[in-house]
Amino acid sequence: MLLTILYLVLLMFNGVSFLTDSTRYINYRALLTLLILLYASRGLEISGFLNAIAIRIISRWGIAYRTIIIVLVTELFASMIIMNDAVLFIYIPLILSISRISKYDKALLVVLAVSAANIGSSLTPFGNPQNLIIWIHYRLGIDAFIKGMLLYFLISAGILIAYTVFILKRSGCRKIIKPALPRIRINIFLASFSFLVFILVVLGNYIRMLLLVALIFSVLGYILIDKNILLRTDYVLLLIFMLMFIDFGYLGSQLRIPAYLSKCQLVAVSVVVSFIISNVPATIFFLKSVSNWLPLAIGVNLGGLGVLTGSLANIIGVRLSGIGIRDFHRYSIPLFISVFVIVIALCPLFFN
Amino acid sequence: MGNPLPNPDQAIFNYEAVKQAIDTVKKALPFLVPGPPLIHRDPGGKVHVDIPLMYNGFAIDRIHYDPVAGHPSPKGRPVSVVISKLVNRSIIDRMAQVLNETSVIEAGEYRDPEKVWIIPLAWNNLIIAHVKVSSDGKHIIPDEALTLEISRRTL
Repeated sequence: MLLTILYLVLLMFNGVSFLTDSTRYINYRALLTLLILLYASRGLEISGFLNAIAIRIISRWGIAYRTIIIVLVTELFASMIIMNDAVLFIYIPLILSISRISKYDKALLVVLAVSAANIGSSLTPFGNPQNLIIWIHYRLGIDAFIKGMLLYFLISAGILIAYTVFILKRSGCRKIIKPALPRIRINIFLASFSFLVFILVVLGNYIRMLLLVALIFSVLGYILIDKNILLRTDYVLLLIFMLMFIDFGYLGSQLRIPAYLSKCQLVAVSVVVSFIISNVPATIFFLKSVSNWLPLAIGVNLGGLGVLTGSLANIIGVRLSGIGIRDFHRYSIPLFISVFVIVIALCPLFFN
Repeated sequence: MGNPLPNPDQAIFNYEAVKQAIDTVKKALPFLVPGPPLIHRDPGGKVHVDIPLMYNGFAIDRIHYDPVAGHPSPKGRPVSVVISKLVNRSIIDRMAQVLNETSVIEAGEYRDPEKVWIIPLAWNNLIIAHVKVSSDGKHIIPDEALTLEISRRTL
C-alpha cells in the first residue's frame, strides 16, 4: 500500500512520462531469479526434507538447550540455500513446539530462530532477496560473494550461538525430554527436483540462457509434481518487489550517498536506512550510488537484525508465532547491539 | 464354485494399523501448535476465522474459530460473524491453551481413495480437527495446500 502511494506521489511529481521511464529501474533478471527461487524454496519446504532432519535432531537429542543450539545451527545452514522466509515457515512452528514442551520463553526462541535465518542467509547470494539483488547488480561470482561475506557471517553466527547459550543457561536448564516424534512423509522426488531447479539457478549466473531453461523446467516440473506450488506462490510479492525497484531505484538516483563516506560509515548508514525502510528497499536505494558492494551487503544484512521493520523475515516470524512486538525487541535489540558493536569495531578487517 | 478371490486392497488391509495411527497422533499431540489465524472477510462484512493446526512446520488441518465465543467451533460448523476487532495474538494464545486441553479420540476413519487414516481430535466434547495418518499408521500426512496457503498469506 505504502509503495503504491509512494509510486503515485512520484508519478504526480514527474508527470506521465514516469510511467514508462520508471520501468528502467526494474531489474528483471533479479525478479526472474527470485520467482524461480520462490518455487524451489516452496518445493523444498513442502517436500518435508528439512522437517525430517529437525524431527531426527529432537528425537535423538531430546529437548534441552543444546537441542535448540543444534536446531539453530541447522537453520543457519538451511537458510544459506533456501530463501530465509521459506526457512522460517519450517522453523518457527518447530521452535514453537519446542517452547510448548520445554516452557522456554516463546518470544526468545522465535527471536533466535528469526536471527538464525537472517544471519545464515547473509552468507550466500540466494539466501535472501537483498543478497540476490546485490549479487546480480554488481555481477559477482558466487565464490566472490561468499568470500566477502564470510567474516561477517562467522562473527554474527558466533555471537548468535554465544548469546543463545548465555540466555538459555541463565533462564535455567530444563529437564531433558526425549519424545518419540512421529515422522512426516517426505516427498523425495519433490525435494530432489527442487534441488535441481536450485542448481540451474546457480548455473544461470554463469550461463544466462540457463535461467530461462530453469523457469520453463520448474514450471513444467511443478505442474507434474505438485501444481499447488505454482498456484499458491505469492505473485503479489513480485509486484511488490517491482514497485520497490521503481520507487527506491528512483529515489536512490536522486538522493545520492556522499562519496566521502568511508566503507565503515557506509555500513552504519545502510543499517540505519534498513531500520527505517527495511533492508530490501534500502539495498535498492543504495545500488546506484554505492560502487563497493561489500559495505552495502554487510550493512543491509546487519540492518535486518534488531528492529522489526529491518527485514521481512522479522515480520514473518512475529506473524507466524503471534508474539508481541515489545517481546520481539526485548531479545532482538541486545543481540543486534552485540553484533553491531563487534562488526563496527572490526570493520577495517572486512575490507582488507 | 469356490469363494471369489478377495479384492487385493482388502486382502492387505491392516485393521491393527488404526491402533498405530492413534498412537502416532498421541505422540504428535504435545507438538501441535496453532498457526497464524486465516481470516476470511465476506462482502457483507462478516468474518470467518480458521486456525491452522501445525505439526513440525506443516499444517495438518484447519480449526474453525468462533471469535465471539473465543473458542473453537466444531468441525463442519464454520462461524461467520460481524466483529469490529480481531487480535491475532489473543487468538493464537487462546488456541495454544485449547490445544493443552485437546485429546485424541481413540477411533479412526479410513479413507480408501487417499489410503489414510483420519484420527479426530476433541476439545470439550467437540471434534475440532482431523489428523491424517498413513495407512500403516506411522507417518503424519500434512495438508500441503494449507501449508502453502499459510506461507502466501503471511507474506
